[in-house]
Amino acid sequence: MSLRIIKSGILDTVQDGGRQGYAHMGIPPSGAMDPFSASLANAILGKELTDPVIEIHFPAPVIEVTEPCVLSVTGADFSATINGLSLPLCQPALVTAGGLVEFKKPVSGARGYIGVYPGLKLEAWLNSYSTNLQAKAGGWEGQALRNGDSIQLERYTGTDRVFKLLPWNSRQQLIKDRIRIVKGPEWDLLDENMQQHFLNDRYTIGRLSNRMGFRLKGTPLIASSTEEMLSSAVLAGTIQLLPDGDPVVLMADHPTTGGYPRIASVIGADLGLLAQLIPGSALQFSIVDLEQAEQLFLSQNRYLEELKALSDAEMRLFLKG
Amino acid sequence: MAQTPDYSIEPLTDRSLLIRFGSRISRKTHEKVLRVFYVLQAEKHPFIVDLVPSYASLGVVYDLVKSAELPGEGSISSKVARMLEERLLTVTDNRKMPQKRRLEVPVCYDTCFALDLEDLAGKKQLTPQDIIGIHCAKLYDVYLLGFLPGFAYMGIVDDRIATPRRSTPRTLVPRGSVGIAGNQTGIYPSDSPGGWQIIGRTPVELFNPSADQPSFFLPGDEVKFYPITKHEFENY
Repeated sequence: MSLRIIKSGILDTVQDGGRQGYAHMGIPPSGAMDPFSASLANAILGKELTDPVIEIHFPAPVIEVTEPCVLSVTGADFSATINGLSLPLCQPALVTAGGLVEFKKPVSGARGYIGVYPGLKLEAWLNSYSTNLQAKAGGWEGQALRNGDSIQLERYTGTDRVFKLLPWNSRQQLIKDRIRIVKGPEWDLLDENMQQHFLNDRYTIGRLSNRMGFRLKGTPLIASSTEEMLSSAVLAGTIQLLPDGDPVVLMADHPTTGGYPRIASVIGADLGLLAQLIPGSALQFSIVDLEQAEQLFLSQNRYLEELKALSDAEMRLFLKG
Repeated sequence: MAQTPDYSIEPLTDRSLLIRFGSRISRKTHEKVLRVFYVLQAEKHPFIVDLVPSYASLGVVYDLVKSAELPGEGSISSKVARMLEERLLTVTDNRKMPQKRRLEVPVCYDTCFALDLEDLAGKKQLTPQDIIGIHCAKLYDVYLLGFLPGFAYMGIVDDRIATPRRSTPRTLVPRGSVGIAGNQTGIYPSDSPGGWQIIGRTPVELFNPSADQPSFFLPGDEVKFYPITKHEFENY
C-alpha cells in the first residue's frame, strides 16, 4: 500500500506543520515553504492542517499509486494529471490502484503540495514528519525522495474504487508580488531614506534562493551602523541585511540564530506567497502593523479550519457510498 | 532581596518576541538568559512553541491561535509580552538553577586534523603546543546552539589565541573539526562549509538524530577540552 516514486523530481520532500520545540539545539522547524498551501492540501481532504504532505518542485516526480487513496494537489500549478486526465488544483480525486500521477509543465508557482487521504505512514522524528535536510533526519529517511522509494499509505476504507474527481473543491491563493512585512528588531539601523528604499523598491529573487533563504537583488541597503551583531534568534520570514547590502529572507530550513541585522520579517500569512515566487521574479514589500499581521494569519487559519470541517463532512458522505 | 533581571521585550516577528538582557558577551548577562530560558522551559506553557537562547537574548516563539486566547487587550504580541513580564518577575537570582553539566571533550590536535593551527601559531607568535595548552586550559561556557543542529558556540577564548574567521571560508569542514572564530570556540557536528579556524578534531558524536537528546551540547553546559593522540582518536 504505497506511493511509489517512479521518477523523482528535483526536490521532493515530506513536510508538515514543522518541528517545534528544538530550536535551542540548533534544530529549526523545517516544514512546508508555503504553509498555507500545505494546510490547504490537508483541509480539502478533511484532515488535520499540519498532517504530512509531499512538497514538490518542478521538474516534479512521477508517482504510482499502488492502492486506492484520495489525493489533492495545491500550491504551484504544475499541470497535474492522473492517468493522463487533468487534476485541478485543490480538488480531491479518488485514485485507484495503478494510478499514475504526473506533472506535465510549470504554469505558475514554485512549490506544489500533494495531500493524501487517509494518510502517509511514516515515523515521526522529534514529534514531526518534516524533513530536516541538514540534520538528515525526519520525513522520508531525512532526505529527498529518490527513484524507487515507496511511501506506505494508510488503508483506504471506501467502497468506491473508480477513479473520479470528488464533488467539492476550494479556491487557491492567487500568486501575488506584494509581500507584507512588519518591522524587525534592527529596523532602526536603516535611516529613513533606506527604509523608504526598502518599502518602495522592487526586488528580484536571486538565483541562489532555496529552502534556506531567498536572496534579494535590488538597490543595496546601507545600515547606519556596521557594528557586528551578537548572534540572536531568527525565524522563517526574518529579513536579514547582509554586509553587501542585499536583504535575505530566511525560509523553512533557516539556521536558528544569525548575526546579521533583522530589519523586518515577512508576515506569516504571506510566507506562502513569497515561497511561490521563482528566482527572477520581482516583488515589493509593504508594511503593516503587528495587529493587522496577526489578524491576517488568524483569518487564514479560520478559513482553513472551516474548509477542513466541510470537507470532512463531504468525505464521510462520500466514503459511505 | 529579590532582583529582577534587567531586560527589554520587543517583537521579533509577528509570532515571536525577543527578550534582550544586554549587548555584549559576558557570563553575567548569559546567566540571565539561561535563568529565564530554564524557567519558561520548565513551565511548559502550551502556547510557547520554541525558545531560542543566545548570548544576550532569548527568542520566544508562540502559537498565534493558542495565544489569541490569553487575557487582556491589544495585539497578541503585547498579551504574550505581558505574560512574559509576569513570569520574569518570579525569576530571581536566588532561584535555584539546574546543575550545570561539565563535559570533558577529547580533541586530537594532530597536524592532519589541525588545518589552521600552524598558520595561527605563526600569526600569534606562539608554538602550536602553546596554542593547544591555552585552548585546553579554560573551562568554556556553551552560550548557544545555532548555525547547524548541535553546533555549540563556546567562550570566552583566551585573547592570546582568539582570532577572526578565515577570510575565505572552506567549502567543506570535516565533521568533528574544532575551531576558533573571534573569542568563540566550537565544533562542527557535521561536514559543512565554514569559516572557523580549525585547530583539531574530536571523535565525539555531537549530533545523533536517534539519541533521546540529539545534541551532545546544550546551552549552559561547561566544557573542558583535553588532548588525545591520533591513535586514541582512531580507537575512540
